[in-house]
Amino acid sequence: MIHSIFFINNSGDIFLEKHYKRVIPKSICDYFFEEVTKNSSPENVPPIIQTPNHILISIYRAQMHFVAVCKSEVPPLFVIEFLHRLADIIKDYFDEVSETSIKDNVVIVYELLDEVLDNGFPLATESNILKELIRPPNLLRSLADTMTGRNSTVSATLPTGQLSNIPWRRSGVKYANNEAYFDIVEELDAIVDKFGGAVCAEVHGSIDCLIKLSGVPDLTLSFVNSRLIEDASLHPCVRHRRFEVERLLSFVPPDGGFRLMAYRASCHGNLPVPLDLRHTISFKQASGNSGHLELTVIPRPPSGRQLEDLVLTVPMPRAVSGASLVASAGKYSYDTASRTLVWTVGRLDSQKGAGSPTLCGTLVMQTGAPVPDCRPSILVSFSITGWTISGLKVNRLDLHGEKYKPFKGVKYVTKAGKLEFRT
Amino acid sequence: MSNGGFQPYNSPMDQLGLPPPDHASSTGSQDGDRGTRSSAADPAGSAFFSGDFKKHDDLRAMLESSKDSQKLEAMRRIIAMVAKGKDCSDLFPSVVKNVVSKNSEVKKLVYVYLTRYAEEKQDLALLSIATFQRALKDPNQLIRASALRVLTSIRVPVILPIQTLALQDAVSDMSAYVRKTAALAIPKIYSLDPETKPQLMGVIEKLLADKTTLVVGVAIQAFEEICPNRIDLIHKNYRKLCELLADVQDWGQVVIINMLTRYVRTQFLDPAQQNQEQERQNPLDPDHELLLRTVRPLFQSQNAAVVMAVAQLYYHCAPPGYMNIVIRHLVRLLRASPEVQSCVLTSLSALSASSPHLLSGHLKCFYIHSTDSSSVKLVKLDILTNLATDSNFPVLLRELQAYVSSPDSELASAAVRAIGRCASQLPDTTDTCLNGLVSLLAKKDESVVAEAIVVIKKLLQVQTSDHSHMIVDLARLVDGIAIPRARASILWLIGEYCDRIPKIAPDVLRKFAKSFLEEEDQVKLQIVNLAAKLCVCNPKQARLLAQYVLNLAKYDQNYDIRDRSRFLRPLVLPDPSVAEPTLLAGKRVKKILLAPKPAPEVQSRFAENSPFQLGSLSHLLNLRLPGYQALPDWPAEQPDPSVRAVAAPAPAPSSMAAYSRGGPKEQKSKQKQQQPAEASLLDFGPTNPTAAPAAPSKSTSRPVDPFGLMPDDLLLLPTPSRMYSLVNKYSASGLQVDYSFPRTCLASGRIALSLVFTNHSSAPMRHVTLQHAAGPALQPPEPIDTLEPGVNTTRQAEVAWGDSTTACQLLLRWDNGAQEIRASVQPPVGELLAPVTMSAQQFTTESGKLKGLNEEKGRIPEAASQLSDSDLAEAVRSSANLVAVSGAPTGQLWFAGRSCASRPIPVYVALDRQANLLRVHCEQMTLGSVLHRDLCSGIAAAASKK
Repeated sequence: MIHSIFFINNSGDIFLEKHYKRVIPKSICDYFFEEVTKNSSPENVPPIIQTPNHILISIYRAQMHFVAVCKSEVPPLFVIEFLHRLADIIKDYFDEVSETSIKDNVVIVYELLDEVLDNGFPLATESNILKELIRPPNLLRSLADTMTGRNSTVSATLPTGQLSNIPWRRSGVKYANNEAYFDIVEELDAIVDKFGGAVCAEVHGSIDCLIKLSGVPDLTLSFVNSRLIEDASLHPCVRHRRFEVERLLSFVPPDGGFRLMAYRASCHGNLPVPLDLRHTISFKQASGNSGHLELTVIPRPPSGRQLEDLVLTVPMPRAVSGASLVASAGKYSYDTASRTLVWTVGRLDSQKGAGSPTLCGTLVMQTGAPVPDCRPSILVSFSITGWTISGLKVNRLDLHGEKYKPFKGVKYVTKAGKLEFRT
Repeated sequence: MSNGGFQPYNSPMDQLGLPPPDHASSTGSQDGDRGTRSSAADPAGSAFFSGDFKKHDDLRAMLESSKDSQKLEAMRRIIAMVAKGKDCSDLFPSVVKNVVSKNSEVKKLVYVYLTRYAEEKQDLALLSIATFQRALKDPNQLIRASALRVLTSIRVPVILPIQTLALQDAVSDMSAYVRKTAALAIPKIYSLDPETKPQLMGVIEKLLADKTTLVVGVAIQAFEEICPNRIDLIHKNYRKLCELLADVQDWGQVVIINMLTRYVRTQFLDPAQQNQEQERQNPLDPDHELLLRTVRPLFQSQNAAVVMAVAQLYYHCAPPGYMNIVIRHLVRLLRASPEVQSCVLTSLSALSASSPHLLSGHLKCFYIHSTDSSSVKLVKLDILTNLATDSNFPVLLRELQAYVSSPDSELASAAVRAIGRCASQLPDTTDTCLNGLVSLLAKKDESVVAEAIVVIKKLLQVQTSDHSHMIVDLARLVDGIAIPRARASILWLIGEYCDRIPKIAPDVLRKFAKSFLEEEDQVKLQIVNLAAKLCVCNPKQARLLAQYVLNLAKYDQNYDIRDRSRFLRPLVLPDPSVAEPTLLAGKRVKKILLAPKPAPEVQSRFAENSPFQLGSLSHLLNLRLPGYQALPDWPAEQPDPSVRAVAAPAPAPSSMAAYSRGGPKEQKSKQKQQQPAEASLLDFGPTNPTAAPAAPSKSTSRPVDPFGLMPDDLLLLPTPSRMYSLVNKYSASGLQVDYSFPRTCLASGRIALSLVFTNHSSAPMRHVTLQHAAGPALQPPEPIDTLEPGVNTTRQAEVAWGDSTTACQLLLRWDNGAQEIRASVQPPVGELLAPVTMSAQQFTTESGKLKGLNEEKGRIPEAASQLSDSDLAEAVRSSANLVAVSGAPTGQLWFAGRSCASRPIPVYVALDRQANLLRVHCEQMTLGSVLHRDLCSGIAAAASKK
């Protein structure tokens, strides 16, 4: 299926390659580079590139391209999902996916690459299993190794998970403090038209867990209002039938962090977008070579909550060469290379009566350039903690199968996903 | 992969049927042999190389050292170089020695190195083979597996016999992990030598029969690569695959589902067709339905590839009614990573072209965010246009107009084109679109204006009504527009409709004649066209101008323009000296030049139904790739369904066993009877309370089951018993009540009764009730308000019989108590039981505890000898609610169950065909002996029917 994998950074450097069948020379990536130069930004590189004898399937993550080379029919999503899984595994091992983290641990990454695929077909992709096969770097462990003289990151025995029927969980887990944390993060995707009405709005949520429980715990997570969950995707550990019938999540969790569920929240009627935006952006003024911009944020957070990390981003047309603005709160910057205006408002304290922060001033237009005739969209990001926009709430978490009483924590966050105001 | 892998790498493979792009020659050997070998042999980089050699020398020294830590350090440095793509093949001799290292990481790294360079250093690689052969016998399964992995990854043809031998041993290894490695090794050996195919097929057949989830996925992958057409190998494993599917690793699920899609298309009838021809009476083949049912939970997988695989299975193989679910889940994938989004959108765009009604409810999901990547934007736009209907058009147009003013000019022009497509798709909206497009002409963005003009041109061509004012507007605009495509379009329009704007057209020509030399080629061509057309329509004003233009064109640098002028001149400006031919042309010249032209059609990329399997790479590229297996057409005739039957002693769920018996008549009646059960199987509601893990104790004892769909649960599916008569129509003045035991085990310990009330009289019956009179407690059925003549109604009741077969006395009343009749229900012992699944081992130990007085022994009726094992099992199951124990020795049929009372009594039944003995083990002697008698008579009855 997958013949070779190449890791390519943004400057066009192939810094890692692994071949699963015959060696495919690096020059195959020239086709890829050709596409990169054709497109303005690396995000725009098409995920599937056809060359005379090969198909290149790539993903772009963390400023890197992960390119898989295939020669014959293969489900494209299979390869894409695999590459993402690979990046996830690397993240799980080294806490971040980046060129440096890969280069610093190149041997472990190469061992991992050898273990995840055999002859191009996925072999072991559960990070719980892989971590038993190839131990992740760890300061404490390397200290212990030098003391005991053990010198190998590769296990000599088969991970227990491989053969068990809960392959996602490693055996013999032991913690002094048993903890289970659940982060319920909901993201609001919406397009608001220039009159302030929502053209489309959707809420997507996910439950990410960090489970540090000893033994083989069997957890049951139930919700106060489970009817809000629509179209869920579940981690393989969740018992499907109980979810279908009782709308609760019953599962034996993997050890560590993982995504338990992702869902679309049903939102009938109007969704309350927790802020309003007044805007005037014009590129032409009577006075001559300057445009005018005025943005006012009117926060409408749910009672008792605050808008945090509020950032407004306005991609400007090429003709805008600068901006001289006054922000009543937060800071603004204008990046002349990418022509984007970023206004970092930060936290909006509703108690203080800060009211509605404004950003107002003139836009410097390039001399001689025609006045642009387009309406840029304003991208908004924010977060509100302790609140979910759909109203989903956890009822209780029960533990079966183990005797101890774990510490349980649930955190709710609502964030802006793809939130965009058209002007 | 299977074919491609074998070809030498640097041969010019034209597999994709595409010529290499131009630059390929400039960069030298593109896919060719600019590999590590050539660079290693290249003496040119000597300066660099000498340094390299020195470095390698110290590595060599480290590898020779006696310390493990030194070796490890050396290996790590070598692998780091290999990872960067540097050539380290010269270290091969030193590295290969360390294959015997005791340190697991050194060994692992040596293995990795070996597989990378063995092909280049074939002779040296042979030195390592003995080590692997030894390791294949190691008691540690990981060592066995990795030895097999590396051994088969070494692409050296000489060791092929060793590889094949190792593979054949590994297939019957105890460890499932080793068997999985063996399955993965099959394509490797095949790519080394396709001649091994017959041998490998045997291995595949063996692996396909494997029952562990770890192995089946990879076994199917091997099947797909080596013999994808041997569908016959799948028959016997079909049901097992369906049942195991939920527990297989996600990658395996994708492969299995894709393969089963092809299987279904060859083995079952088209469900869409069936519905039309035979109405609703004919449900899906139970096996077909089994697959659809077991696959459905996988829609909720976190792996987009699995969701896509299920979606395409439903798209290609399910009855049409299921498509809504499919779309819902595909739309959910749009939230995933941009790459997934782009692939899914391409598939959805194909769907939107072929059946837009499916997606019409999800219009808003395809609205474009300004942060989408440019390819995603274009596909979304394509989908939006495909979904345009008269009703959603106003909303859609507003949305498209928003895109037109987007700063992304590529999107803006695409949006203009989309408006044009909507207009030509929906004739009613053409006017609205045209007005919208004309208003766009006032925009400052030139590319948008140009696009708008091109689209207007196309639309005007379609429109039959008069739009002269619009053409006039366009003619006025022409001075301000610099983009040649737009200028050419305007000129063409003026020429085509010059008779509608007689005053303006010659003036435009005058202006353009003046600027002819500065124009682009395509504009020049249109000027020539305009001149010719005007000259025909309005020779008075235009003749001289036309002559001037044609003269200019005659000496143009572009040969197209010169040709055009040569072609048009004799038509419109006939040379007076040559009279004959021009006269002929003169009459027809108007017809030739101003003939009505067919309107151009604007279509989506997937306008034609793509022949490829949805979600495949071939579908995405619209190109047949090597290794693509075409989706077969549905068969016209039902292929033999009995091929999937698995022989006793592990009878499949009874619905299938009955099905597999074969006779078409019998099959039909069976299916009819089972219809209610089958209908309920499709939804995942709690139809079967025992199967739903209600009690926490049960769920903790089996925490392994991710989807709650264990294979044994499938075996527990209830088979309703035969019908018994409660009251017949003669004794109850036309009311007939029949009952059967649906065999759904209720948590309360009661036994469920399914009652069918039929009115055979000519008058409707009112308020039919059934009440308890005496005997065991009854949960009465809901009363029936009115029972029309000739109509039957089904009701459920529950009776608490416990362990006794005491008759339950009932009082049947109707017509508000005017009619009354007594009846009684006495259950056969077999119906008081509930099936229990257990392993053969459990069965022997448990039944061994019930010997002596607790064992009822007797002969199996003589007639049973003509029954096959599965028929015998079916006979037992029809007279008692028991389940077969899988794994019983041949010639033996074992069944297990328990009573439904508050304190369940286990019941074990064993049939020994050789000794012709039927044994019933039960701690309650009466129950045992009655059951024994019932079973004997049941078997005899089944045999006599035969």
